[in-house]
Amino acid sequence: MPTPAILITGVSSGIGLVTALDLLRRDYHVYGSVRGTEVPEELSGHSNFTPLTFDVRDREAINVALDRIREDGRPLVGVINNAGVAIPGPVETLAEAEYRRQFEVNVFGLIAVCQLTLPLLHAARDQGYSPRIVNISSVSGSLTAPYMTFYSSSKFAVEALTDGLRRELLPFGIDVVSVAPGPTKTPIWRKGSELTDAFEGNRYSHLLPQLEPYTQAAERGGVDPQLVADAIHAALTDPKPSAYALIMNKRWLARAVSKMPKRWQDRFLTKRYR
Amino acid sequence: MQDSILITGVSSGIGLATAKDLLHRGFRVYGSVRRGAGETQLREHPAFTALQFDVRDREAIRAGIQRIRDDGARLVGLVNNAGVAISGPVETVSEEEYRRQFEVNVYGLVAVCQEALPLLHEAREAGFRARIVNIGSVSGYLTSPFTTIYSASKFAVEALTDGLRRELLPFGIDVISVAPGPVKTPIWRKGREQTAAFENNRYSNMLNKLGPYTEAAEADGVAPEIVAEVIYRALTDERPDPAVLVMKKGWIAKLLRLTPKRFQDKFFTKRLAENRRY
Ligand SMILES: NC(=O)c1ccc[n+]([C@@H]2O[C@H](COP(=O)([O-])OP(=O)(O)OC[C@H]3O[C@@H](n4cnc5c(N)ncnc54)[C@H](OP(=O)(O)O)[C@@H]3O)[C@@H](O)[C@H]2O)c1
Ligand SMILES: NC(=O)c1ccc[n+]([C@@H]2O[C@H](COP(=O)([O-])OP(=O)(O)OC[C@H]3O[C@@H](n4cnc5c(N)ncnc54)[C@H](OP(=O)(O)O)[C@@H]3O)[C@@H](O)[C@H]2O)c1
Repeated sequence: MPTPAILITGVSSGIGLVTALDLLRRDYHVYGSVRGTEVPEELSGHSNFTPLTFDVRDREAINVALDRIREDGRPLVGVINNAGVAIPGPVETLAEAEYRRQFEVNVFGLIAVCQLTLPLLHAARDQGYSPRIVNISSVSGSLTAPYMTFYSSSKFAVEALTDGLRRELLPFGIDVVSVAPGPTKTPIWRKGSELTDAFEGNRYSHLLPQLEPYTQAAERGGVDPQLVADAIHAALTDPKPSAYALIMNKRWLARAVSKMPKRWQDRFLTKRYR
Repeated sequence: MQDSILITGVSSGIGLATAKDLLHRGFRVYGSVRRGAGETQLREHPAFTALQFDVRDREAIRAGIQRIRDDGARLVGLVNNAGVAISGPVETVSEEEYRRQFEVNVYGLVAVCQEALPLLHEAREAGFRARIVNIGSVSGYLTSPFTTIYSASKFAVEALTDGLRRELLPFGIDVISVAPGPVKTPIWRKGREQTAAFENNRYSNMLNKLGPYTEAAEADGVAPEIVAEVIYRALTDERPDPAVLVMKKGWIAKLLRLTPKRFQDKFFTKRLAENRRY
């Protein structure tokens, strides 16, 4: 029997990297996407790891890379849509190129990967496996913090895509679930904190000094990415996984806030900026 | 000076009904159309001005806003109504179509907000109430199969509404979502004509269901005038509800949203089998 395989997008760092290592330990064959030629050392030495090179915004590149999986002939039993970016900035002032990039990667990239891998997932299903798609969403997919509105908007879209795709694939035996982390200790906030243009020289510039402490607090208070990797593993293997898993510290608080009337949410979520 | 409102997409449906309603209530209305000068009744109204723009064309939006500025009008409200509804399975809907869904409903809305905000700030700073009303949808709360991409765009609009409201709080501009359930407008017919994503693939058994499914939803829908009335209240109430669902038996949708996802799955699967939407 060939080793079942999982595809993870974005394994260069953070949740993707930790999840790839986790699934390798659990004896899957892992196909992990990177954008450059650099493959993290921990992965490159592993015999069950195959790097694929693509940017999720490039359908053609994804398709070419998938040839490798098609040729290897391992059943593809899971796709983890993890690649993502987080672009801060006020809605009023964020440049069009930046808010487009937010959706290009987190939404269109995810749709493209789903569309192109689904034939492989259907094939695995036909061979008797229970293939799954796991979308990495965020707590921002159910609550919108100011100045992270576009990121949140992209993750709200991911939640809808997860629910809709699951409902559409129900007759075909492919399950689709979302794993929604809260703040997690990864480089993502650091990458975003370099983007300050949208706050400069406008009515939002008084926020500039607050951005860096926020990034640091998110990193400090965040969960270990291994916790997210565990939830992803459960999503891939539980007989009937939760269709939505929120992974964060003080999860009850996020849940309570998301059930509050909007005007209360407003007060709660703008507190830090007053 | 009359208070002015900008509404995008007044050629038909909710936008048209809202433009008429607001004119009737004494507002000056700027309404966007993509071609022509607007429907006869609007065109002939002295307080109506048609602006020509596609929400995907920022330059054209800018020119439209400039027209409002040149008129010296006081812009106290923006109603982001222009929208399209793409149907089709996520697996097979073409890239061009899913992009169009976001280009119009999301990027278009953002571009109009960004371009209109300077005028809204001016009105606010001059002591007037300024509001943005985004037309969401019950599909921004719950996702039915085969309109997933549409839902994704309307979920995105809900987040944009909440985030923008929170960002504009210090500046006194309120941002509200009015989310209709099914409404009797041409949007349903436009949807029925989109069959390509269902043809010759594993979803083609859906083809003969699309007609009855959308017809039933439309027939059961509310009149656009009802939505117009809610939009008017969102623009003028002292402290409006920031998220209004306008739908017959809206409580079912609200309740359903609180149920576990797998229960929702069963609900939608069952409704689909019965050619019903909610
Ligand atoms: N960290 C958190 O607090 C948190 C919270 C909630 C949700 N999430 C979500 O978790 C996922 C992983 O994020 P992370 O925190 O692990 O951040 P990360 O360390 O920055 O990882 C993001 C990964 O996505 C890849 N990526 C970015 N843009 C890409 C593109 N256009 N094409 C292909 N790959 C691309 C990155 O590759 P490069 O190195 O090439 O850029 C990287 O491997 C994201 O979807 C994120 O939204 C994170
Ligand atoms: N009807 C419903 O059941 C329902 C339910 C929930 C939410 N909604 C929402 O309500 C809003 C209005 O829809 P409706 O039902 O009244 O449908 P409609 O009659 O089809 O009206 C849509 C309007 O948007 C305009 N529009 C479309 N694409 C545009 C673009 N690229 N640039 C500028 N304008 C554009 C259309 O103009 P053209 O004539 O030039 O195309 C038309 O004026 C939409 O946002 C829709 O999602 C409708």
